[in-house]
Amino acid sequence: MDKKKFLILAFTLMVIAQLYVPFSMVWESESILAAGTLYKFRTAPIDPNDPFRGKYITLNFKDNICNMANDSIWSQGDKAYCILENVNGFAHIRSLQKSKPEDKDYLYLTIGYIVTVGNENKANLVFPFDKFYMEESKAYAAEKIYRERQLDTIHTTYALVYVKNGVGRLSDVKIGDSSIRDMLK
Amino acid sequence: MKRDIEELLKANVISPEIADAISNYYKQKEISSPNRLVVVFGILGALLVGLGVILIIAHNWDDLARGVKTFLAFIPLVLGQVATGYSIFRKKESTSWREASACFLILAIGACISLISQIYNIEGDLGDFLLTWSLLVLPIVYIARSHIASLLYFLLITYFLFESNSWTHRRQFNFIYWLLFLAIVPHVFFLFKNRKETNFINFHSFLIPISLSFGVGSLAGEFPHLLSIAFIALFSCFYGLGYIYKSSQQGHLSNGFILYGSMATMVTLFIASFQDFWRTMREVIWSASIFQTETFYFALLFFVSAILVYYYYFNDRRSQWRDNLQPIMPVFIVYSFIFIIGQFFPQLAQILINMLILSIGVLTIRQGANMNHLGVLNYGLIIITILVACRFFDTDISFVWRGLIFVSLGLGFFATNFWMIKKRSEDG
Repeated sequence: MDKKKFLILAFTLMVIAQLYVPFSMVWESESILAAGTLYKFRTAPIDPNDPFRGKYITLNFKDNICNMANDSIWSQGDKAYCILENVNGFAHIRSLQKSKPEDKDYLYLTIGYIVTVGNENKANLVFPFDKFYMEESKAYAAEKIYRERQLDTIHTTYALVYVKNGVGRLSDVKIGDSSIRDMLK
Repeated sequence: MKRDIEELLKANVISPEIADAISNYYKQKEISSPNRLVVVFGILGALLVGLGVILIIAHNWDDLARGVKTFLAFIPLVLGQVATGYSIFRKKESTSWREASACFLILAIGACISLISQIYNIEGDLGDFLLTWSLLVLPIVYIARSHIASLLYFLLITYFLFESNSWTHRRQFNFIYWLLFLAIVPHVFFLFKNRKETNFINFHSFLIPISLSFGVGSLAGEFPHLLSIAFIALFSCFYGLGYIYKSSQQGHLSNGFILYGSMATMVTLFIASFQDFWRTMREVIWSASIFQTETFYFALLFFVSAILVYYYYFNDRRSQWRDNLQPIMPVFIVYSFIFIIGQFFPQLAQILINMLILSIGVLTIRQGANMNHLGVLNYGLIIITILVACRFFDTDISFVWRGLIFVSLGLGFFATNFWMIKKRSEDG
């Protein structure tokens, strides 16, 4: 193979590799959003002193704690398959397991920390979809509304997450029935 | 140019015919080369238009459909690939096209992945992102033959190392970093071997030592003191490499290998000059497991590499080896012996290190005087000053004596510089 043909082949492979990475991210995300199961995760108030990050709202979740057996095999930093269930219309972590479940919706998460309360061990789970990106000038106002509404007892704030094959994709943050994006218009 | 030609003509340095020939030559050159001011304003105009378009899109970003946002995210990447392809196949001989398009493509790769992550709210690990980005940049270095790509690659892998080790809060061998480093070595080897692109060589000569130092610093584990040998040997390698590729016209300040190698060696020696260094080393329980650590093998590797570097350097200079021997060059061998002595006699080792630093300082001053080089002379004085300052921290000397010593050092600085300048004016 002469030098020019080799260069063309190498350049083509390089271009394909560079396009493949972002394209595969889009493909996986679109697949989850199109065919994944929709769950509503209730959000919890965040620390108002958390510095403004600029481009996104930081989400905190209410139902990210899971009970574990006392002779737990889990440690901080472990990865776990977290079985999901719907309780009163909102997502809830039912249990953890080490092996991949069959025929159940699950999230593949990291155990943040473990606390012992009385006779029970509880695992705090790290949800990867804790940042909702917005246009920079709107993110601050959105975060302010989001924080204020956490104290609202009438309207529930929650994140819409599509789940497929252990991966969750955040599609929107809702306050009551309204999207936070619409509230800024 | 016209004024210079007239001046030369009046002084009868050149004849009228030669003056005409020179004027015609430069007139031709002006016609064939583009008006640089036009090029600069063109680039500025294009940048402003581009930034304006980006700002308009950014303002309306949230109102755009996801599909549109995704399409827009790919545009810089595709443009960068087209530009790089054009520079490789149509503008082979143009360095500016090659480097500018490669630089744009690298930034576009990062921007595209980041934008897709934002559009789909994908939370990723920064270390994974940097690794992916580095792997996508690596082919650009070789296919586009871009040196800016190589520099950016070094920044990325160093940041990757820092990020992936920071999470563990402890040192561990980062195998991936070393693989990434080895992958760029062929490009760097040919860059230094060809010696044409001196600016890029100089930039690499600063970036490579910094990156490698982070890499070595990420080792340590059970026997952190052993790292000092690895570091000193590594810095000696840099120092020797700096002298191998250094040209006669190049100053020390623009040679990153020499500058970094020298200063980093001195910093390591200053650290080892404190009694705490040897006292804490004694507290480590040395065992045969030291021979199974990465630190030991890296120390050995760099030690052998330094010997080979200096063998290569002095092989071409056998008859003038004394003139080419710099005070810092044999430090890695001397330090290794002192390190072994320190296992049994820590106080003796500390004294020897201080004497080594003093010797380097004095020899550097002498070298500066012989070379008639104020920078080298003052460097030697600074070494001795820092040594004295360090000893103030771990010895009980009264303030009066400290003051007197510093005044003496200051007067020594003035006297030496005055003597050098006077010697120059007498010789000149």
